[in-house]
Amino acid sequence: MQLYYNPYSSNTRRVLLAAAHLGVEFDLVKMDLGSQDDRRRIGEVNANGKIPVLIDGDFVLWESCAIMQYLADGTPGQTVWPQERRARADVSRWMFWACQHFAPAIGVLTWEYIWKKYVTGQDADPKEVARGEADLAEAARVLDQHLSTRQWLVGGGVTLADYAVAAPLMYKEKAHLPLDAYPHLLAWFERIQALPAWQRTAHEW
Amino acid sequence: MQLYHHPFSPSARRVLMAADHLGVALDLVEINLASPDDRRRLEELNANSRIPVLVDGALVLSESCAIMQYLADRTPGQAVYPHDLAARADVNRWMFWTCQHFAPALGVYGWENMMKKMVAGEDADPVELARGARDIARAAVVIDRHLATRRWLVGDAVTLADYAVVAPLMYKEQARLPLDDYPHLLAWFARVQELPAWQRTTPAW
Repeated sequence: MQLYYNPYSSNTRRVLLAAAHLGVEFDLVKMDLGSQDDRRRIGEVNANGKIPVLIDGDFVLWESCAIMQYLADGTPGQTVWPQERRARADVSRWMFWACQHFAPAIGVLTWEYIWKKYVTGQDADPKEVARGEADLAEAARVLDQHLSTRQWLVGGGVTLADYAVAAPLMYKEKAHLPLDAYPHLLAWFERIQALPAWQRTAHEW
Repeated sequence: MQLYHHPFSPSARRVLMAADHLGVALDLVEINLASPDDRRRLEELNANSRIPVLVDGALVLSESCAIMQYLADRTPGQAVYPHDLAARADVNRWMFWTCQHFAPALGVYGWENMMKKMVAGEDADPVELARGARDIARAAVVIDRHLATRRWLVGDAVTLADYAVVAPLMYKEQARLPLDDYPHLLAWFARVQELPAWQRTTPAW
């Protein structure tokens, strides 16, 4: 299996976290989104022009959370993607929640504070920052409340839900994510950072 | 099982279509988001304060796509959520894709052209419409190209992926969604509109 990836991509990080936890190995093919050649190569396998992309024989899969689930489904004896129906639905719920609410809010701030300068040379737009902060506050409140009585998002151990939701927090400092008011979220993120999967997939900036 | 929903919510429509297709009976509890009482009831169930929410005994499940998958997984002999690993990953991919890209882009138009006047009494903001149009175009070209050689998103029959992606098109006219340039998308939407699950869940506007 090949994974088209970039170490600065939080969506890539989701897949790397799942793979590290599951002990799945693949050939990492680094893609530089600033390179026209690499963008063309990505476009050939994913019309969205986005990474990560998994290539498993003639099966090409994009969308980071779908890749995480596919890797887990192919790993006998794993526990991060529960077999039991209700637990699985609970994990799935948080993965959709991350894609729909939490990650896009963080995405606004990472664009404004990190990528925009590189790509367009422009500074952060205060209106966009305000929109990202408002969306993040709403999502962070939900997450913080949920974690006030739990160590992990679902059940008694780490699952794909934790990895999917936590990945964009890799930008916490660089994107000035305003999360100080959410102690349970921060405590959970500390626990995530102590996991071997997080440590083995960390990348120097 | 109870489903907290509203007939005008495209996310609720996803679940209604899946339930209809699967032959799952749900007790429908209509939630009026303009009513403080209804909002409080919703908040008690789902800290996210969004519909739909499924209540199945002790399980309280939010996120429409997770609910669709759960309903399929508890229905023996169903074919809309394949068991084959790659086919299931393919369905999951489109469900995540719509939550992350297509539905939020359409949602900007839905808000600006339809809901905003009713809820906030304000006119559409051209800057927001431009952002929505750009994001819609990015996503619509992907699905249009995909559907150029296919009748359904995955395999040769309708799956949860079709229902999840198509739901927001229920307000195509009211929100004046800019989709005229995507003939394969429109042809697929016409096919979906022929399905009993679409017809039986269409609200009276």
